[in-house]
Amino acid sequence: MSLQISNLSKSYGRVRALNDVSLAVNPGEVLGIMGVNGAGKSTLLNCICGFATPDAGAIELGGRGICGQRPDHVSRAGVGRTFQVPRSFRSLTVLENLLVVPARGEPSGILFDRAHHALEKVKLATLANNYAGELSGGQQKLLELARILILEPQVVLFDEPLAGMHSDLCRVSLDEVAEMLSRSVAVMLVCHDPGIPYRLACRGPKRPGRHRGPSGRPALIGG
Amino acid sequence: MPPLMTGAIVNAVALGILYGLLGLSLTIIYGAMRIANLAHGEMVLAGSYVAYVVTTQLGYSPLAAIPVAFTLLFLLAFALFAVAGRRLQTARDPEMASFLFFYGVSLMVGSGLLFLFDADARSVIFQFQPISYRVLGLVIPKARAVAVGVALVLVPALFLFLYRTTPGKALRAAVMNRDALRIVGVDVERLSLVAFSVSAGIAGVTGVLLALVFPAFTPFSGLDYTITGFVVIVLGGLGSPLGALLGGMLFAFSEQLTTLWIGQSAGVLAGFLILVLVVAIRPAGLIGQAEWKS
Ligand SMILES: Nc1ncnc2c1ncn2[C@@H]1O[C@H](COP(=O)(O)OP(=O)(O)O)[C@@H](O)[C@H]1O
Ligand SMILES: [Mg+2]
Repeated sequence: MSLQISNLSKSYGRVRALNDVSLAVNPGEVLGIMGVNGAGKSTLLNCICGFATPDAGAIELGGRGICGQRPDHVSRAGVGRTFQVPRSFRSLTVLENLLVVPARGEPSGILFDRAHHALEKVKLATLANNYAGELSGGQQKLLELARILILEPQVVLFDEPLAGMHSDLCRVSLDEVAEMLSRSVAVMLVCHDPGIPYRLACRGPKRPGRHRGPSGRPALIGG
Repeated sequence: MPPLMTGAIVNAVALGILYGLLGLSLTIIYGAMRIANLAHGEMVLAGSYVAYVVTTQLGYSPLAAIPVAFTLLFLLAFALFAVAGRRLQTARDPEMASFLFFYGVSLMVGSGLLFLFDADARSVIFQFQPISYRVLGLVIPKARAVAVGVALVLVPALFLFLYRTTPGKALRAAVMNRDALRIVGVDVERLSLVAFSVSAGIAGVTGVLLALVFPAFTPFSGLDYTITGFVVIVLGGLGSPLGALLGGMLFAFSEQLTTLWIGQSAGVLAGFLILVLVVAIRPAGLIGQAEWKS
């Protein structure tokens, strides 16, 4: 499924966080979003996920408008995301963090197996019964990644997935993103290092090296 | 141990678990939805009046009042939430908005009870067989034993639900981080609707049980329950189920022991004193982690 954004604008009071942003991400593509702090990157993701309502513009997922829908609807429509500051359920165990997703008609045993599998992929399996609040910041980001793996979304939005993360954990994270791309997931990646989406794009088997910039730019704030 | 002391401790344990129950439903709602249910006491009180109607007026056992109170308050809360829940949760300041809304609801329920039952104090009149038990030289009224017995079933059942089932975990997860729950596709609004209704139902059941323990109540008793409920959950830590239970015990013990040692009027004071101390030393409460904030 592809994600298409056209002429998106969003202001907070007099702060214009997004100014006429248009871009698209197709299956198997990675789109890097860069910009200084406060440029509006997280706001863009918030508008897509339904945490913020844009003032103008359209957001289409596989040709269907999702602008203004509730976050849980957007999630079930196939969009996954991580947060800049990871959001986990601190007093639930790492495994339980993955098991609170609503049943999608499958027996709970399958979800359980998928959760274990996802934890193994992000190297958190040994911590499955620890409380999420005990994890390091980097590990919490991996837990968010595992959450995405079990939801199997078609479009994934990463908000600074590698910021402040140990380099070993970075590799685990990048490997998973690369694998998602190979499964034709559309990936949008907010980061500060242009090398990351570039490297991912080069590794992606579908359209190696394809690397496009958005046609609109998040407005620069205070800079 | 002197019998008065034993009596005070037995009373404190009995009241403690009921106070814990009073706080339990309140704390989940506050934690998960940031709804300060100022009408909680009136919902509890409505449960007490259900017990009054079922026992004193109709002559049935107070146990029969339990499902009636649960259903009635479940439906009332369901209707309230269907009307106002969404607006409250999307309000700019959900805490203040719900505070005012439920203050209105508390006045409404209170005056509704006043209209239906007059201002006179009412009590549950039902002859249990036997009327009381003798344990360790203490006389324990059966009504009180029944109330505690039901609470002793209800509280572990609630904890099993919250800590062992998926919807229960989702509810606790909502206390920890609502946005993370929505991002995995949980319909937090529906979860809130059900949780709020069930919590009101439990408040109603708590009212039935309290009516078995306290001799009498009037349409104005609701505020006392609300205050006790909030004291209990602030003591324990807002949003923490275990904290509500601990807070209930602590409040009941301080109340009972101070009443024994100093006197009736000092009893309530001691509870508030402990509250102020706990909040001064540990603002998050006994086992709260302030984790309902995102
Ligand atoms: N919920 C909000 N309320 C008010 N202002 C906001 C809100 N979210 C973001 N902003 C403002 O919008 C601008 C863009 O923020 P953000 O999208 O977080 O930037 P970035 O992620 O690129 O660092 C900033 O000036 C920020 O202060
Ligand atoms: Mg940001």
